[in-house]
This record gives sequence, C-alpha cells and structure tokens, in this order.
Amino acid sequence: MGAISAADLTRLRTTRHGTKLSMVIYPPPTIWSARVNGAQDLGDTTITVDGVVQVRAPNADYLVRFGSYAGSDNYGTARFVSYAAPTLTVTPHNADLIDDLYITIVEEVPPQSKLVTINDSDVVFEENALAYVDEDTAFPPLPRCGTHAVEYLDMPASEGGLATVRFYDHGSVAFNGATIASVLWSWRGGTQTVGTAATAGTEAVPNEVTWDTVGNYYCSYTVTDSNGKSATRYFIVFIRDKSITVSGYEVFSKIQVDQLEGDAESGAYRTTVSIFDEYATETILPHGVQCVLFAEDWFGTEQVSIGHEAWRENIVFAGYMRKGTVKKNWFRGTVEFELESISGVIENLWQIASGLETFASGDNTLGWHVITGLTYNLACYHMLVWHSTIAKITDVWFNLPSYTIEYVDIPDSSLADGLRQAFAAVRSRMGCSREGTLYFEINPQLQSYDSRSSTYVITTTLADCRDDMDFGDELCDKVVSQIDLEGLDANAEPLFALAPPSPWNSGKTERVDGIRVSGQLESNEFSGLYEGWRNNPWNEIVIPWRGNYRPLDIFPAEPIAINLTAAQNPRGYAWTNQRCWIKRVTLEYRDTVLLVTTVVEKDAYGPPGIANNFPGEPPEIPTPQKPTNPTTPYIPPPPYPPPT
Amino acid sequence: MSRFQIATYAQGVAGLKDLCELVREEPQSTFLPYTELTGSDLTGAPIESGLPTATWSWDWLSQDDIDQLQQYCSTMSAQVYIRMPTDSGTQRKTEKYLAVMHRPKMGDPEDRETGNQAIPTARPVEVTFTAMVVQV
Repeated sequence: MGAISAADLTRLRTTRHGTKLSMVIYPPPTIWSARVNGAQDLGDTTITVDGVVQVRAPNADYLVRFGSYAGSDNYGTARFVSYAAPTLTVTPHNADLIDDLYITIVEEVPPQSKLVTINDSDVVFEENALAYVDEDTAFPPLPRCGTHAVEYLDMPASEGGLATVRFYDHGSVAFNGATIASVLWSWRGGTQTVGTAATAGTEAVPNEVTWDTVGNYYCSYTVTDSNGKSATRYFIVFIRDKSITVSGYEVFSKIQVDQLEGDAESGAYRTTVSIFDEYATETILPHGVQCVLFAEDWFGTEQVSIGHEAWRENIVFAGYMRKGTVKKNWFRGTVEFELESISGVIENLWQIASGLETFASGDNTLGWHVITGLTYNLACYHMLVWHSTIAKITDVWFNLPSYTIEYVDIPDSSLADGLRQAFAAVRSRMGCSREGTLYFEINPQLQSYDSRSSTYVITTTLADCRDDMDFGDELCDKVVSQIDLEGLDANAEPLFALAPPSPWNSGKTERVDGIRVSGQLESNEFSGLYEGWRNNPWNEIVIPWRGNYRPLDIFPAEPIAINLTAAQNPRGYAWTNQRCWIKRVTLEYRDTVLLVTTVVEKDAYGPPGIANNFPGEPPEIPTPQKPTNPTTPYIPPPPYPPPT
Repeated sequence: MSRFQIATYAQGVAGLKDLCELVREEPQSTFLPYTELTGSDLTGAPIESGLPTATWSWDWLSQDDIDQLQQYCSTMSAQVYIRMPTDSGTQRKTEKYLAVMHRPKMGDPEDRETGNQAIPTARPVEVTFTAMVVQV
C-alpha cells in the first residue's frame, strides 16, 4: 500500500464523504454433472459415470459434490482431478457411491486441506497419489493477481452498458533461480481492450477487460516458470447492472455490518452481516459462500474510492461466510450470518502430521519431505501449496526472515496452527488484509530497529481524529523484569541472553525459547527487543479516525506516524512523528457513514541484552541417600496369613 | 417548473415530474448535507459524515395523494430521483439527487376540508430521503 497520497489525504481530511456499502456473493454454478454408473466401492477415487452434462470442462481442484439429487452434497464432497470417459477421478473422500448417485462439479476451488499419505514402503505422496518428481528443488511458481473485482455496467445492459475492469500481475514469483517464463489470463466472457491474455500488466499499465453482461465470472491467472512448472490463481469478477436485479446475481445493498474487526494477533477479520433486502432468504446463501463487501464512495460530488489495493479501491472486504451461521431473524425481517477472512477459514482446515527436512540433513532419499535449502518461507510455501488449496484462491506473501533450517515438524493440527509452528522460531505472524491477501511476516516490533520501515501510511494532523486518542492505562510498572532468551543458531546450538542485564524491580522473568538467531550478538539484540516490546507502556492507543480511512489495515505491517501536542490529549503527551504499529482495525457502517477505528502500539525498543552464561536447565539436585542408620527400629511385617 | 420533483429509478432524471402534479401542494422540506455528526477533530471542529439526507412533510395529504407517493416507494425503501431546494436562504438553490426514498410515514387520519370539499381520510405525511447523491 505505502503512503496515502497527498490528494487522498486532502479528500479524507477536508471533504465531507459518504459511502454506500453493498455485498455480492458467489454461489458457484454447476458446470459439469453426471450419475454414478453402477455401485462403486465406498471412497473410490476413480468413478465410472454416465449421463454427463458439461457446460465447461472442470479444472483441477474444483469442488465435486455427491448427493441424492442434482447439486446436493449429502453424500460428501471431493475435488476434481480429471475426467476421461467414462471415468471421473477425484481426490480422497468418504462417499458411499451407490448406483445413480448424482455428481455435481461446481466452478470453484474451495479452501481445503490436501492430505499427505505414506504407503507401506514409507514413500510419501501428496494428495493421496501425487508422486514426487523433482519438487525438492523445482518449486512451482506462485501467481499473484490481486483480489476479486466488483464493477457496475456504466449504463443499463439493455442500452449497451459496459463494465471495465483492470488487472495486473501483483508480483508473481518463481523460486530457486527459476524465472517467470510466461503468463496466461483467462477472462471468461470478458473482452480484452488493453494488453493480451499473455500480458502480465503492471499497476501503471494494467490490462483492461470489458464485460457487457451481468454475471459472476470465475477467472484465472496461470504463471509458468523456466522449469516448465506452472500454477494457477482463481479470482471472481462480479459484474452488475444498477438498473435491474438479476436473479442469482443480486447486489445486497440494504445491509447492516456489525463491527468488521481484524486483529494482527489472530490475523483474521470477522463480522456479522444482516441483510434487509426483500429478496434475501437463507436459501440463496449457501453455506461457506464467498462474499465481497464493496463500496461506492463520494467525496463531495466526486465519486472516488480510497482503498488498500490499486484498481480495487472499492473492495472493502473479501471472505467467506462461516458455515452454519446463516439464519433468518423473523422479528427483524433479516437474514444474518457471520463472515471471516481466509485466515479465519484456515483455522478449521485439518492436516495430518508430517515433516520437512533439508536434503543435507536427511537420509539422502529424495521425496516430498525434502526441500533443498529449506527456509521458514519455503516451509510455509510448501504447506500452503501442497497441503492446501489456499495459494490457488488468494495471493500469498512470504516475508519471513531468510534463515535456513534443518527440519520442520508439522503437527497433527489445523493448517493455521501448523503454519504458526513452522514460523514460531522467527518472531513472526500470519494474517490477512481486508481484501484477503495472506501475509507471513516478522512482527515489526521484534524486527531489528534499524530495518524497521519509516514509510508511513499516514502522518497524522489535528484533522485526522474524530475524537481524542485514547491512550488507555499506561503501564507504570514493568510487566517483565527480565527476558531470558534461548536463541538457537544454525546448528541448533543454544545462545542464551538476558535483557536487561539486571532485572527490573517489578514484573516477572519471562523465558523465550527456541528463537532462531545467527549468533550471540543477535540473541542479545532480540532479548532486548522482546523486553522493550513486552514492557511497552503504550500498547493500546485507540485512534478514532475522522472518516473512511480504509487504507489502514492490519496486514501487511506498515507504520503510521502520530503527531500531537500536550494540549490535544488528556494525558499531556507531546509526540512528533511517533512511529506506531497497527494492532487492530475496526470498521463501523451505518446508513452512509463508514468509520474506521484503529488500535495501535507505540514503536518499542529495548537495548541489547547480555550473554547469559547460566546453564539452560536447572542444576540437577542430588537424590537424597537412604539413611544407613534408621532412627526408627526395624519392625518386621506380620506373618501372612495371620495365625488363627 | 416546481422546486420539488420526483421520478423512479427506471424513469431516470429525464422522467422527473413536478410534485404538484401528484399531490395537492409542495411539502415543507429539510435538507442536511450529511447523515450525522460523528464527533469533533482535535481543533474542535465538528465532523459531518455521510451522504446528504432530506425530509418532505405535509400537514396532511388525502389518500389519493398518498397513493400517488407510494407509487414511488411501495416497499421498505426504493431508489428515486428527486429535485429539491438545498438552501434555506432567499435564493433557494435546487439540486437533483439520486436518493433512497423510505416508505412514507403517516399520522392518524383526520377529517379535513379544502374549499367546499370534505377530505375524509387526510393524514399528516413525512417522507425521508437518505444516501443522496447529487446528479450533475
């Protein structure tokens, strides 16, 4: 995102503004259907079918439903692998495939886990049957193309209206020395007017595509690298006509959005939406449906949006309905449900335990468990790309510290917990922007002080707040008296550090274990940073912004600079360009007022600690010896059985 | 041309019709260039947020008049185009807006007379417009 432009700051500070917030949903359409032909074994992944009806050929990982009637999934789901008449191949499932069961494939890659399997010879396969070829060094590229698009036709479709949407490559990346060799966009009904399907496009010169018909277009962006490996990202283009409501392509504009709140610790946004539109029923909102909240913003008489992502400034939030939360509120006449970002969804995606190791440390048997030159970034990449569908449905950025590691153990847990365990050693965190882009990055407060960003999203003036900043209860005493840090170098040798060298006289000692460091100096530095962060007296500053300051987000970590004099806050603080980091962002929407509130923490710093030469484990306490001269005289036990 | 006009979304700006042709007289109106005051900035200046809002009110309208108005909003709310005065000074400027018209609120019916004609079911009526976007 970077800094908000001067022109946009002027708009935000001086121009009365209002917003119409609306929502669109993506109930995925059926593109392929068939019936099971003859009973198959329970859980068969190669299924003989007949009665195939194909609208479009499915792509890998599209959702497959098994049900007792067309479109239903009461027998379970899987993902599409391939079809060669009369055999449909799908991913593992537990469906009992009775004769004539309905199979429906919808046009959507769902957010799901992919499970690792190990055969009787201890050979690892991804996704049940995917054999290792060269993936220890040749990693598929990672396409990035931004969030979904929502656009209105510029006039009614009946009068030849067109909607123009712009696209560009958001920084697709190839790995391990490979380069991006080619790209291919698929517009699904759109007509390209600037660029070609093989043009990546840039933010300054994006591809332009027009649509003339209302619809939900499931588009894709495929990137191929110089190793011949390719990967595809899917995104949705929602085209709407203001003059008519087309069944199946509604715009929900009579909505109430309870606080849309994201916090950097959990990394997720969540909210509850109530729909008042007459045509909203619980039945048109399928469980887990993708939802996009978008805005029409007016600054005075100028319609312009100030957002977080270039060419998608009107997108306020992209996420998924939480399954099982949709309900009718008969009293209010509304349909209500909860929304969460993709980072919330992955909290509930399960994966089985597995591990990754760098080739040099292994048993020299190549396979899926090996990644040459393993880093924390590559470990997270591997989990997202091979153990889930997430990298196909959202942009992902891996900005973790670049240390190499010997191995990573992936626990039997949720995908989110597995990822957290993978990067726990590098002071990092994971989370989403409101538009759904997923970031892995170091906690900015635990980053070397000199490398912290000074590119402020905003440098505040008196006009930016709609009320006093709330500094909360300043911590007058230290929470932590001393950080006792155990750093681990590349050979997993411990490097202990204490910060501050002499404990503060309040708080308690806190142990921080297993932090990856390059050496003793870094261990000392990090112990100081931890101490400064944990004892930061200003860690909950509430800033109520004067209006629709949507560019402020929890991810990626970007600082803001606060200016205020002692007379402008009840605590009498005078700060000049004080760097702060966003912890939480809350959006409130009522009528046409969209207000942003953030909770920030002051930039914290603690001077480096000192090497701790104490042993890491407590000293062994000798076991007391059995006394040789018992003071109590020996009494023999009574005979058994007792004498009669 | 009346200072007050209205058209459905489908009719568009070109379809704006004088309110006097629909109901017996022009309404009393209020116009706010914002939705709500959301606070004051650190200089103490009030902050006006949201799109303009307006109300049209009549001491009473006949049922026929009300029926005419409800053609523009028969459900909870509807998008309409309106023209109305925006200032309260001597030079009352009028602007055209795309707005969300809320279902007219009506008071208790009462008998009225106008000239020699009895109006048996007259009611006080108020119409609220929100999310007003000026049409240039």
